[in-house]
Amino acid sequence: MNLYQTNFTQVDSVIVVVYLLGSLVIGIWANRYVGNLSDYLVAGRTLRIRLALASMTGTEFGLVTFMYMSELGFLQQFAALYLGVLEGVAVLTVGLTGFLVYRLRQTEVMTVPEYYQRRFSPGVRVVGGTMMVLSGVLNMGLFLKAGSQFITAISGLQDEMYLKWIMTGLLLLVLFYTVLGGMVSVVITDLIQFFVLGVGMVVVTGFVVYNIGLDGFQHVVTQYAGCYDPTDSVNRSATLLPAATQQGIGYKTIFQMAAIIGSASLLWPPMASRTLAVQSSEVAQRLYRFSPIPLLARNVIPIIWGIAAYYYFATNDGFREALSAALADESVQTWSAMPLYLSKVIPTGCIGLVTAGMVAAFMSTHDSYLLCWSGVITQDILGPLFGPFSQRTRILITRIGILAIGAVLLTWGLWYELSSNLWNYMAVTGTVYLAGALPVVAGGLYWKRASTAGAYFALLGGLTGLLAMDPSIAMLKKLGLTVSGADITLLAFAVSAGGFVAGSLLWPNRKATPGRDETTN
Amino acid sequence: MMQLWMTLWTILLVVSCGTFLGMMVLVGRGAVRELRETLSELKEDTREAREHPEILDQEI
Repeated sequence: MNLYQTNFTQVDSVIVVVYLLGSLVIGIWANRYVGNLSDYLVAGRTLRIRLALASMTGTEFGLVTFMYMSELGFLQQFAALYLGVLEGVAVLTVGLTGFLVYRLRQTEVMTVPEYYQRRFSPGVRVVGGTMMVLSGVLNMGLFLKAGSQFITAISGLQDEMYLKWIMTGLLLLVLFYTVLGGMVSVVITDLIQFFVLGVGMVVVTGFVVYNIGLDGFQHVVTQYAGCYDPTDSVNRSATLLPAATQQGIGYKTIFQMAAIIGSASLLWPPMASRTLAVQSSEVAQRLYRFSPIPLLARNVIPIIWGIAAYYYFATNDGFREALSAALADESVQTWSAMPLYLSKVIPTGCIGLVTAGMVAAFMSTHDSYLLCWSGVITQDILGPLFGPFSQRTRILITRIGILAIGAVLLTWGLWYELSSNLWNYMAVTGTVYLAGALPVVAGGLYWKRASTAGAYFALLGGLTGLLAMDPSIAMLKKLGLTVSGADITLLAFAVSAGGFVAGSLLWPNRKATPGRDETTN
Repeated sequence: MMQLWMTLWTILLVVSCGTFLGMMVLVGRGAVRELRETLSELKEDTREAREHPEILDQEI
């Protein structure tokens, strides 16, 4: 049985191409609204609640999110839904209490590292900015590959060369309109992508539920060994699909994810940049009060698709054998299970709309992330080191930064081979920044004795997270040290927090830091 | 135990899909108007930049 059998036809290709060309035109048009640096980086801080929410939804619903969440749904079934609960609770808590985001917005900074300078020193800003870019670019490293594998799987393209050309083409398109229009372009395209993606999600979820039926979801657990308990450390579904590892989720992984998701909901830079781009602190807090809705959906809906893919392959002997063979010879990875499933159950025409929605998700995440990291390079690394620069020069450097990051992403996407699941990669690379940023920002805003030395220790402590990447784990194993990614991630958070407290107590600031944040009470 | 977990997950699925649909309708309607307001404010900035290009060359 041909695993790549698909309902995707030329009609669907036309729908996708028309959508891509439309995005390109909007990107060029948005350029006319960029008057100064603030317009380019944070859309002049003019975003109101609905537009900010639509833009944040567009950003946070990346194609990579659909790929890693559906992969978890495919491998861990219902048990994977605990991630949605963790994120929803974390964001709602921030929305109700205003913890951190309210005070951070009051400081009027444009980026998180800018806050480091105000509260601590210019050196902390440069180190913090460097850690952020390192973590962020590594985190983005597999976005392109995941996006391209979605397109090749759903459209039935098997040739490796197609994958490379699609990666390059998609990247060039996003680079083009982001370089031109900055945040203005990002917000306009995010809004359109919000609509296209939303319709695409409704269509797919409707077909998925129709295809396997409500009984099918029940049978996943009762007849096909699907996981439902996240505290269980054994994965029962591994008996049916050899792709799944025997190891379940368990308490240690839940703690690891709680630390990562909790800190990411506060300080993950693309999310924080929306907080800093809204009109006021009140709007920032309101944004968090409403955000659990889209954030819960971005976890739950792709997991439903993944569970449906699991059921489809579990109940269809021919396709299950073809998938198992492809996974065994590594011509397919588990993250492709969802698009391979959709390509068979969504009819021609609709599948084009769905693919356009997913390409929308791909672009809306890429543009925000590219702008965010290159903005940090300009404002927080090169500016303090080699500035002052004029606004015109800063916009130029940011544009060059976007192109440079694009080149790194293309190289990394082609080179890096993933051996664990995609979500683990995202979590581990995010830790490098989050582990250090959380104590520094929270401590800076709420603890008077927080010092510059403590901030350096915390930020550099985040580098411990690099040891949790697959090649590092393999190297440690060769040296006779068997540790898991969860162990090292939790260690990175502990090292950073401990380093921050110890550094602040042992080496306090001698005098009040110039420009110290007035909100620190 | 299985029944308890599955009830919890079913509630989560229904709530998240329902609220997301509602949010899409509510946000979608207001967001287009807000985008127009944002663009008109940004237009002020571009006019100012055109009239005073020297501001863009001042070092910050």
